[in-house]
Amino acid sequence: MDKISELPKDILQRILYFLSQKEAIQTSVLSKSWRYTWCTRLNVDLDFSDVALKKNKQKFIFVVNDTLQRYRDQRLCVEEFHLRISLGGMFNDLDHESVSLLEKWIPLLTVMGMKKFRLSVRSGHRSVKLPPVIFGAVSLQDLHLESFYFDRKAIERMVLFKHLKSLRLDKVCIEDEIFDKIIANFPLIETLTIEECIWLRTIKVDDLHNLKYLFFKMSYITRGEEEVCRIEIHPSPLSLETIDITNCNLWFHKGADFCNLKELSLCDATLSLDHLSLCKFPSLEYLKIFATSGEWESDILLNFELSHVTSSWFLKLKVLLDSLTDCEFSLNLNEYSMNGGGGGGGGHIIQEIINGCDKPVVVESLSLCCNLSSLSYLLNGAFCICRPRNIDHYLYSKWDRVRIEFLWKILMQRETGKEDQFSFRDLEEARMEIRGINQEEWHPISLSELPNDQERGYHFIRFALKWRQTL
Amino acid sequence: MAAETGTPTTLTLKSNDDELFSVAESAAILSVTIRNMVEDGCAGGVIPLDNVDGKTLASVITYMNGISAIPADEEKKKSYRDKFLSDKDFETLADMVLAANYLNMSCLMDAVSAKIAQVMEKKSVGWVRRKFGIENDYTPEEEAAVKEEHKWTFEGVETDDDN
Repeated sequence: MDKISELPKDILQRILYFLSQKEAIQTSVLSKSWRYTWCTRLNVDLDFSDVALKKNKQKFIFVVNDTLQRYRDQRLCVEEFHLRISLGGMFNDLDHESVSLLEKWIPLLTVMGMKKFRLSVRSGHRSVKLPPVIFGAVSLQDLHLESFYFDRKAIERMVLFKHLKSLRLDKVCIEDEIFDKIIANFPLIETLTIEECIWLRTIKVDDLHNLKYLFFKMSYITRGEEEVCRIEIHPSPLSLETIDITNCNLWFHKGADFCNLKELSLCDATLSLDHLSLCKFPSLEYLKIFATSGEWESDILLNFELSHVTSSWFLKLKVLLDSLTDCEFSLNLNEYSMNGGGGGGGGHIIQEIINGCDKPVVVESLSLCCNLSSLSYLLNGAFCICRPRNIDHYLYSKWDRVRIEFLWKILMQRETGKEDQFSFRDLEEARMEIRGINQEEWHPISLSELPNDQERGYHFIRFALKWRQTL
Repeated sequence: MAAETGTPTTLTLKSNDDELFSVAESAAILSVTIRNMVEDGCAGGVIPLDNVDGKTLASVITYMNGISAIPADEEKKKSYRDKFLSDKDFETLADMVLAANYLNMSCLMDAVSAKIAQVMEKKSVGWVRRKFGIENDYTPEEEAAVKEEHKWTFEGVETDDDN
C-alpha cells in the first residue's frame, strides 16, 4: 500500500482535521481504506451557506443529522463542532423552527464529548435569540457565539461550566445582568474575547482568577450612540498576560500589580494616566497606547494639548516610563492642535522637572509631532526624563525640510549653553542618519546632502543620539 | 534537571538504525515521551527510540533545537515551523509525522499534519490519488455509489489541480 494510506488512523485523523468538511468527506472516494476515515476526525464544520447546501433547508438538516448519526454509530467523539446557519428575511433561509433543532443536536454533541463549539448565525440583524440549550452543554471548554441576541431565556438553563477556558462573543446583543450571570458560571475562564457586542455597559473581571487573555473590541460604527463600555480589572490581576482593548473605558485599581502582564494594548481606551502609572508592570514586553485622533500608531503614543504640558505632566510621564524600564520602547508625543499655539514653558519649568526626577529612562526612540514653536520646549522636557537612542524615523515626506533643519539646529548648536537647554548637557553626540525605504542600514548624512524634493518620499530620517555615561 | 543545577544536561538518543545523537535536555523534553523517561529517571544512559530512523531523528533534533531557541512568541515559532517544513517532500513528512506521534510532540505533529493537508486542499480526488500513489480499489460502480452518497460535497466545487 502507499505511504499515506498506511499511516495510523490517529495521524490520518489529524491530517483530515485541517481540511474543510467537504474536502474531508471527499477523501472517502480515494480508495476503500479511506471510505470511513473522514468521519473519525474530531471536528465537524458545517455551513448552511455552502453553495451545495444553500437554499435547501431539508438537505442541510439531513447532512447535519447524517453526520452526527455516523459518529454516534461508531461511538466516536466530536470534539469540535462549528455550525454556521443563516436565518431571517431571505426566501430560502432557515426559519426559527430549524434553530430549535439545536435543542436536539446539542445534547447529542454533549454526550459525544464536544469540547469546542462555535455557532454563527447570518441574519443581518441581531434578532435571533440564543437557544437556552447552549448553556446546558456542560462539557464545553471553548465556546464561540456569533450574532445572537441573549435574552433572559437564554440563561434559564445555565449550569456551572467547570471546564470552560475560552469564551468568545462576536456581534451579540447582551445586557450587563445576563453577561454577569454567564461569567459567574465560567469561573476558570482563561481567554475572554468580546468583539462588536452591543448593550454591554460594564464588564467586571473581578472573579476571573485564571484569566490570562482579555480582548475587547468595538468599532465606532457598531457603537453608534451607545455609551462606552467600561472594563473593570480586579485589584490583583495575577493571571493576566495580555490585555488588548479597543474603544472602551478602562479602570484599574490604583497600585495594581500586573506581575504577569506581557502585552498591554490600549486603542482609544479612556483611562487616567496617573492611575496607570501607579500600577506595576514588571513583565511587560509590549505596550501600545494609541488614539485614532493621533496620526501614527506606535509603542507609546501620547496626545496632549500644550497647555497641559507642565513640569508635573513630564514628571507623571516619568513615573510611567520608570514602570517600564525593563522594556525597550519608543515614545511618541503628539500635540493635538497643530495650528498656532507654541511657546511652552521656559527654563524654570525645565529646572522643576530636573529637580523632580532622578535617573532618566533609556528609550529606544522618541518622536515628536508638534508645532515648530513648541519643539524646543518639548525636546528639553523629554530629555530631562528620558535618554532616547534616536529621534524620529518617519518618512522624509512627512517631515518637511524646515522641521529637520530646525531640529538639526537645536541638536547641533546645543553647546551655546543657554539656560533652557540645560537638559542637553549629557548629550555627547548627535548625528543625522538616512535610510532608503527598502534598506535596513542607516547612513550618516549632513544637512546639505539631504535628498531633493523629488526623492524625499523614499527615505527615512532620524537623529542618532549618544549620551554621556554620567549616571 | 538542567534548570536546577545550572549546567545544561545533554541526553543521548539512539535511532533504530543505531545512530547516536546528543541533544540538550531542555530541547529534547519537547517530546513528552522523552520527558516522561527523564522524569522517571531512565534517561541516564542512552535513550533508545525504536520507531525512529537516524535520518528522521536528525531532522527532529534540528527542529527541537530550532524551536526551543525561540522565546515564547507564537508567531515566530509558527514562521520557524513553516520554514522548517517548506522544503520537505511527502516521504520525509510522513516519516516525521510518525516520529512526532511516537515521540508525542503535538506541535510538530500538528504542523506536519497541516502541511500534508495543505497539499490535498482544493484538489480533485484523481489528483490526490496520483500525488500520493493511492491505488483506487473501488469498482466503477462502487466509486459512483460512494460519490452519490456524498453528492453535496462535489457540488459547486472548483479544484485547482494545475498547481
